[in-house]
Amino acid sequence: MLKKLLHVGYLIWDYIYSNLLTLWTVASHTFSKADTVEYPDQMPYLAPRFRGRIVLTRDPSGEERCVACNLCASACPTDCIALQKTEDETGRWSAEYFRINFSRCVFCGLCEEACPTYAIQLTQDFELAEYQRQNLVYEKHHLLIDGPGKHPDYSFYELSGKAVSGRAKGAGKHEAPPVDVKSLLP
Amino acid sequence: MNADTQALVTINIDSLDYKVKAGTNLLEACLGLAKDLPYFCWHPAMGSVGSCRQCAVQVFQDQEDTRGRMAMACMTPVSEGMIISLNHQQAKQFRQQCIEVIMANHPHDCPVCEEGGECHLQDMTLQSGHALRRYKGAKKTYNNQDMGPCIGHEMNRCISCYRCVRFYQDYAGGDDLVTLGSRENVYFGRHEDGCLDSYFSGNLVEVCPTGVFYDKPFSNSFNRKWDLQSAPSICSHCSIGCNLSVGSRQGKVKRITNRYHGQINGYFLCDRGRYGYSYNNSEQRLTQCEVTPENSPMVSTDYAATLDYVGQIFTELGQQNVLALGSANASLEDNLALQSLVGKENFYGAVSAHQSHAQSRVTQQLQRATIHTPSLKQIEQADGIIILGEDLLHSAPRMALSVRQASRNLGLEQAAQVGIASWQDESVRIHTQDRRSPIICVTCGGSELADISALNLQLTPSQITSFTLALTSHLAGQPESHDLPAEVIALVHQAAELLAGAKRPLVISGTSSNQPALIDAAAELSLGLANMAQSQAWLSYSLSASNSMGLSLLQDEAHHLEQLQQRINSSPEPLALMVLQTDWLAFQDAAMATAMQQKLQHLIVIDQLPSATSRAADVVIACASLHESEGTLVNHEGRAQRYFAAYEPASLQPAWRSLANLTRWLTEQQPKTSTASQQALAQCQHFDDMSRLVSQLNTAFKHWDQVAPNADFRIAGMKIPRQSHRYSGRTSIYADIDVSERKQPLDEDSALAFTMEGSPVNPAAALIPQVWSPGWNSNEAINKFQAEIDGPLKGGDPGLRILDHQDTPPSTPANLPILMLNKGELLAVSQGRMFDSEPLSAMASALRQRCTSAVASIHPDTAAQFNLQEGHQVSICLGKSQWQLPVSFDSAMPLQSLLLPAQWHAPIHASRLPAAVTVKPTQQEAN
Repeated sequence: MLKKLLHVGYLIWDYIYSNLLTLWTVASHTFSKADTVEYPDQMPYLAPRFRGRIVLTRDPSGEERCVACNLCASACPTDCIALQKTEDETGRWSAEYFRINFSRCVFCGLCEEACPTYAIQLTQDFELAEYQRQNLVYEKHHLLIDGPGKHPDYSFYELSGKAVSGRAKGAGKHEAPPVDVKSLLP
Repeated sequence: MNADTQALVTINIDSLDYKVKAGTNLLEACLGLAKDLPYFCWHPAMGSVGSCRQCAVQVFQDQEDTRGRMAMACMTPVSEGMIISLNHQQAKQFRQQCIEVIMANHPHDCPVCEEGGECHLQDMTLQSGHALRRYKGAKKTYNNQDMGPCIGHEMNRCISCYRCVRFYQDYAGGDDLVTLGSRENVYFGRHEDGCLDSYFSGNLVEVCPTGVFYDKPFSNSFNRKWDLQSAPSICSHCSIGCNLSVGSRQGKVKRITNRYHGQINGYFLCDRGRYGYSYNNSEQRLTQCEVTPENSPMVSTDYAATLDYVGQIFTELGQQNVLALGSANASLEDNLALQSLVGKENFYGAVSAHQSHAQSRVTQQLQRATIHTPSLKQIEQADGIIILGEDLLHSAPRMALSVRQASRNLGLEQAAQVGIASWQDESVRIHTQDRRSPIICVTCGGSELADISALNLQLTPSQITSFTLALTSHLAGQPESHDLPAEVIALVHQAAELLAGAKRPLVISGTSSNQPALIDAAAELSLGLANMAQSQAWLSYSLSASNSMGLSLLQDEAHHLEQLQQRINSSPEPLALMVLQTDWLAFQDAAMATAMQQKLQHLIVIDQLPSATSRAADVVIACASLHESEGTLVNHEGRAQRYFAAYEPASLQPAWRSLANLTRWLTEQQPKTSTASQQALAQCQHFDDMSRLVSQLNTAFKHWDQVAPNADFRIAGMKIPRQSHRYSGRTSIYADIDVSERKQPLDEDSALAFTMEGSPVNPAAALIPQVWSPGWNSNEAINKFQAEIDGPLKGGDPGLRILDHQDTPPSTPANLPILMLNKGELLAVSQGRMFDSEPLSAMASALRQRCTSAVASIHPDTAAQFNLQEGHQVSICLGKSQWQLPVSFDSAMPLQSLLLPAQWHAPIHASRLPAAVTVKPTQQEAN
């Protein structure tokens, strides 16, 4: 009998103690620093190399940097980049369409590493949530920004040796004037 | 082939012994052993010149020698006991330094270069280990040239390997692409901007190890090689049957590249084959079935309803009253399906009577046990060629290129006598100078092979036959009893003298002059020449279309267009006609066409593109094109070759499947009246079922299952992927339409898959979608697929020669009406045209821009008789058809004849020629 009473008493004590402990712990956190941030009123810290929404940048003269070389698409592990090359009448390559399916993108940044013209860059923006999955498909006009992004001075066509509008053969950086085939001078 | 080239020698490469073929060079031997040794200027078909210094290896005197000396592998013949090293430090460093010098001026434009990703220079740079440009000076630049609609030019990228001019001038005989400038300023281009003249200029894209010459139409909607969904295919623009690799993306054919075949096209294609694909992407393509009942507006209907409607026609008119017209441009399976549906007696070929008989003579001659029809590779070994009645460069361009190589055999032989190996390209050419093996061209309108021919004659078609018979008689020592003028007889003697020294004589003729008698005469000449040279009789025919041979094996020679016309005109009962992929009405006299159209109750057209016939038809069944379906074509030598779909068309069915579906409907509706062949066709669901049906058809087709592996073929349980392992954009390419990825289309008709999953190795030669090997991204990777360099592919070259030798002699030729010229008439003869004779390739805008203007050529004396003046318009009448053309004088033309361009859309179609025409000068001058 006594044994039984003692056991019931133990159970009651245990119950009360556990609750009191919980209350104490919760109450004590009232005075500690919060782990969560007040997003969106307060923005989280993002490392300088944070990889968020992908953009397409422009070169210093304001032309599209993307030359539709397809290297980003081939580097993409989820195959979420698709594009088609087109060319203007002066010989400058650009993308006819440039599509990123962000519902597949894993923000690995391999496209940025592969890009030979610094056109495709990952930004600090991570706020991509949508109610409709279809809205996560970004076309070129969604991706293209007005500035040069991380590499303000780079212009691929200055170094490519290809003649495009406003830059004749031999007018780029580190280029000699076009060879005069008819010259016999040494 | 003498015995010592077949012998093997042992060479030691990096301490391992290998047996290699004697007589070759070290580079070829190393590549044949699947070793990676960089090269630029060497080409398996063009030999070595040793200009790029890339293939340096270290050669050692003997076992004691540790220093060795450096040698260029491509210029060093293999010898017994040779010890070499590819990995020797000195050789490796030399190769790396050479690349570094080449790259010092190479532009930084790979991202905007069409060659990027399949660039031999990229591959070789990586292979040599060069990575950093140490030279800090300015890069050399060059101005580019406009080279026409097919080839783009970006001279900055040039590494001066000289491959382009060696191909263009030495191999293909062109003279407008040259090396200009001097010293380090050499420039490869034309003397001024302008379209490249050669019909083989497209090969520059593949021959150039970098991106100096690029494919312009492909560049317009460019994709990297790894992004193309490719399939092995066969060219349908002439009867040679060159092997193609068709690259597609997003349901469009993007480009065509050469697919190596050791016996046929080797490394090179003609421009018609390379650029003729645009019809496939045309906006005009028929995309749905259309039913237009008489006197009512057109109703676009769905597929099933159309088949219902056609089925009703069969029920209404009775099956015996439905005729069909097969096509020499459609696959054998498509034609067989049509033949099975309507029955053999109702099936006609879309060829004229003369053409049909000529074609049937070809088949019979090639089946003779004493006659061998050489492949193009064998043609290159002939050392005396006579071409009868064919302007080969237009009717079978790739064969003309082989004939050009054959003309070098005299030089190669003479060089061999003084110990110069055939691959020592420059030395052989210097030793040879202008000496060539005899090539004799006997045509009506002149041959474009004139620059290599020893004798170039222009005679009328019937005179060509007489010439051939006279030559045969002369060779046999019999008197020539033919009605030829004395000066032609003198030429017969001259031709006989020229061919007298040939050890492997070859006769080439063809059906483009529509002369069945010439076919037989050519065969007799080849036997006569063989008798004289104590060799096998070599005889090759060029045919009119890609599947002419297949159609002739299927159809009765008497079932031709004229016969069909007669049947339609004389039938008391109403008839329906099913036309397969042919613009039937274009072959006809204008008045005749209208008359027949009125006689026909129904005209049903199965086609991919609209034509005069499809516009006149009341039922049009749209079908998949060659690039969207499987099928088999039989080429000029009787080689059956399979082509495969590059992509799955959205809603189109191949013609055979539509016909099988229709037959199924019929057999279900009318089980009692259906024939055995209809019931067999109704069972066909997949392509392999069709193949089986073909193999049961007749003995020529009995090994049809060996043409290519069937749909069950697997490698380690896997299909062969059409897409590369680095195919990009799978999850976004169609995301604009729906973000949920669509299922990859299944291919139940072949062993290829429309995906990137599958076997990474590819041992089936007939199923190579595109060539790629680790470290070898360009088409040069083909050396990893060949059993020996420039030899057959691993597992044997694809295709199957189906012409069995038959013991029965050829049947006696049918009596055809002899063409007689009345007073005031001229003999009109057709002349093939490279870019607008063949209807499908003529739709390609890049090729249309290269067409020369159409003129009617005539001898000035004959012109004077008819009051024709050069440059003035002449009106040419044949029956009710009329054609206005400007006159051009050609004093080499035979008298009393008029040469008309064989344009496919011409008012007087080439298949109606030769014919007697009347001409009338119109006073107006051509602009």
